[in-house]
Amino acid sequence: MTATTPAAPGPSLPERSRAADGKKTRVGMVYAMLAGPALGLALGLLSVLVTKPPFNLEQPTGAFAIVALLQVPFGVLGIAVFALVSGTWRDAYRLFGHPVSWWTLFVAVGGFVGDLCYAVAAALIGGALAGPIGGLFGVVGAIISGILYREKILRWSTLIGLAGLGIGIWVVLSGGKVVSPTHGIYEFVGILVIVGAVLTWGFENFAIAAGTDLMPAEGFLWWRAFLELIIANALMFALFPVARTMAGRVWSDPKLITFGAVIGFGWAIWMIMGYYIGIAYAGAVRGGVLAGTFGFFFIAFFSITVYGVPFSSAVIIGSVVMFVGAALIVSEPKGYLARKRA
Amino acid sequence: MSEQASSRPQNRAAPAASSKTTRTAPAQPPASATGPEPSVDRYLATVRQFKLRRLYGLLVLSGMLLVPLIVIYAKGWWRLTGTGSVGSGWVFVGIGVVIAAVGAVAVDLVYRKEL
Repeated sequence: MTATTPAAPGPSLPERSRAADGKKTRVGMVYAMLAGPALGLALGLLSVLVTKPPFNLEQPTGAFAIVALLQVPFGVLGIAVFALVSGTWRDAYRLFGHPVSWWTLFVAVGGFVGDLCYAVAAALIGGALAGPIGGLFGVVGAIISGILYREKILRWSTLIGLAGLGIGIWVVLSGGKVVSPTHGIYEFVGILVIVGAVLTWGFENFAIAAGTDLMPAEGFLWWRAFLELIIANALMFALFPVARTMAGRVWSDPKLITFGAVIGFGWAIWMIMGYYIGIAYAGAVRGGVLAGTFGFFFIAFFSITVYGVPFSSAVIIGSVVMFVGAALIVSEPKGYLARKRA
Repeated sequence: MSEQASSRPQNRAAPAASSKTTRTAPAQPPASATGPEPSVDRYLATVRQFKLRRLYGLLVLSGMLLVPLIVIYAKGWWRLTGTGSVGSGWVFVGIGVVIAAVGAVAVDLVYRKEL
């Protein structure tokens, strides 16, 4: 009589699910980081162009115009092409008319205000300075999500990470003398405006995490960008007469249209991969902090290396310190994890 | 069709049971003694197909980004941004941006190949 050896049991479905969930979070962090250079390419160019003709005819109308006429239209086009090729247009279509689509309007308004504040700040203090400060939106979003989702993010590594971000920003600001096109009160106002963007984007960061619990990320994103296009253009043409002159010049100049394609398509890549998929997979804390810190660092980095803004080592050193701070915020120490699992 | 939507095709944007940050395990079909249910296999096949479609979408969008960068370099329009601007750098940075973004999807395909 031969005894049959039972096959070794594999992991149960709940175990497999937990393992897959952990992998998804890690992949979300990879998406958030590797999409960062696309944002640097796009908003670094926007930050340089916003101070050139025809956008310098009048400020902040010029900042409004570059967002409404170049960044968002090409961004919506890029996201639409991605949706058509990937098949996610079906998700965008299914959201139309559903009550949850009001959430996309809420996020679009927040995102639009943040984008507008960034462009205004870039005109005042330049992208090399506005970029690293703007990246702090991830921390704001993490704090909001931590409070509303009751996630325990307050631990020693988070506090050291926040201190690192503070020191990093202080070092970056010391580079303002070199990289900022304005000084004195204008520079101060520019910093206040980018802080406004940080707060608005921070809320959007939380709203993406909450929204992607209800809706697929890519379909949600298309409505957010499309509604921003409508809101931005309606407000700009209604409130700022000079914008009509700017629009005429922009749309009749092949150079500006080509620059707009770079800004819009680069922004679209970051929005899809880093911002929405990153946060949908890794959550508002990990995805948001990494998407913000990495993406906005590259704005400063490309501004001073490719786009001709004077080089400042303070911006680079400050950004590296911010990276370390962000890494401490998103990583969970072994002891903390063991206690959490127990 | 996204990974998230395909897990509940009967719902129109149905609310999910858990938040992204709390990360509780999502509901799964019951395991059987003979292995995963056919619906699990269907779900995994859909997710795999979706990740490939995401890659195709990103490749097209990346091409749309590289074309204007090459035009800007060929026509010398990069000089408009300032005297310190590096023209060829625009194209190299664009290629680097595309490699990084496509690399993220490639990491997803390899690291989560069981999906």
